[in-house]
Amino acid sequence: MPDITYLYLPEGEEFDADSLNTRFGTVVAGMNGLLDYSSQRGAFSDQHLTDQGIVADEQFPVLIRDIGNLPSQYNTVYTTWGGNGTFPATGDSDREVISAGGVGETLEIITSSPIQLGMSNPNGIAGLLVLLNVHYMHSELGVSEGDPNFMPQLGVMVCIQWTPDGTEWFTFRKTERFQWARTIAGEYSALEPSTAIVGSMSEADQFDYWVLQDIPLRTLILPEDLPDPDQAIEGIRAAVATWDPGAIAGTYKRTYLREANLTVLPLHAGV
Amino acid sequence: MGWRFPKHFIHDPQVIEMDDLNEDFRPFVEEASGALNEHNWKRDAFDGRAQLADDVAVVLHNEVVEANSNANPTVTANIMFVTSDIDWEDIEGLETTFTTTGGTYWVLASIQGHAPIYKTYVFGSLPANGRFGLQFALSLNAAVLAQSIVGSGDLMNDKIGSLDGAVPKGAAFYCWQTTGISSQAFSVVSEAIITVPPGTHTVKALVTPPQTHESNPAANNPGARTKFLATRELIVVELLR
Repeated sequence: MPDITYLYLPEGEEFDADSLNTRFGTVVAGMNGLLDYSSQRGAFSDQHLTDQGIVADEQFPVLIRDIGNLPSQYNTVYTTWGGNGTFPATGDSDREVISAGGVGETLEIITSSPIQLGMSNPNGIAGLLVLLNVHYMHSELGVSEGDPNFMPQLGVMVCIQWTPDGTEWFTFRKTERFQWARTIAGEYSALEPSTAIVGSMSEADQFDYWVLQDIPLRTLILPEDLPDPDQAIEGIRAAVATWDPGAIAGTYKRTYLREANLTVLPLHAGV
Repeated sequence: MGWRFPKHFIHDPQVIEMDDLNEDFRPFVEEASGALNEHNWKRDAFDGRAQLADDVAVVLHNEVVEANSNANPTVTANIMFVTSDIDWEDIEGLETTFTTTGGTYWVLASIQGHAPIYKTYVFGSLPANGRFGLQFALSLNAAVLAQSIVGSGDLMNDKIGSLDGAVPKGAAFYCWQTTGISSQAFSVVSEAIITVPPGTHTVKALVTPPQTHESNPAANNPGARTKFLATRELIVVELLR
């Protein structure tokens, strides 16, 4: 319940309408300030609790990172399910952090000190509820215009990574999500788009180029998702790689993203 | 004493509510029997989060199935091929049952889907039937949560169709009005915030194609292994306070 300050009328003191209104006004304001959870049976209210919330964010400088309306280019090509790194010495090199390069525009959250997951550990963080959305613009394949493979027959992979030391990054395999380039050539791999198919376009690269697809991911990171449940981690980030399962020939394979955001909620919770 | 006055006065000719009566009697009964509630605790009774029980406000559940999307699905572990019936089908592994005193729940399903638009799939040929894509939803105690549907809850109004052109046969732009998500690979999230009564409840993630067949009904083959799911996770967050 909120604080209600009611000054009781002392014996012998004169009172009038204003003084009564003032007294009752404190009660009215207090009662109107009641929240649903304050009046539920058995509910502890905010007045009983610590300033610390249920989101155990003391070691997190921010809980949200986002990229604005800026295209960002990525040249790393995916090779291995779950990443090609070898814990703990070498992190994954077949994916790279999502970043537009500006201040605060890297989807990476470095903790102020190492944390351990699990309620039995001092940080009291049961797990990390992670929300990621990535806006996939398109992919490019390095071949000449007119080549049957000119249009990308590629995809993109996004995932969540963690670091034990701020340097080497490893992938939570369960967080890998794939999106294919939703273009005519991409979905129909033997087809070279032509004006006969898609309309009156004067140049091949005027059509069948943009994907513009949202890639959403939700995951709950628990201690058992780490190599050791007591493993200390120093950061969480979102990574991306161009997906080329068909090994299409080209001098380069790259992906462009636009808006993206990463949210990490470290929760004091039962599991 | 917690409450000096009954919370609910009974007046003629009001209908007497069982819950109201219980709430009127409960504080006196509990305090007379020594039970404590929020009114017996002082301000700032807890000075740190560590003093709170783990499940004081949030309880987490999750179910995970890992399957490699970067491989031939016909020989890859934990791949789930989706039946081509337009009935909601349980997604394998994405089911959790919990017992609660009632409250608000945040349910999230994050799923890797594959619905190749034409038969030429990147990891080999699959029967042509994926172009209409897939729809997703959550269910509570076998009832589909309408607010969680990714796709459409009503497939009766608009015809979903496709044409089999000679060249290119069945490419993406020959399909119209499908409510499903179709691509060789896509990621989808279905979420809902729900209020559940006390008891034991089961939450599942569901999938269905919006259409069973191509333009030629004779080609319908509900058992065709055309659309499939790879890595997937179901998360249930109990919001107790």
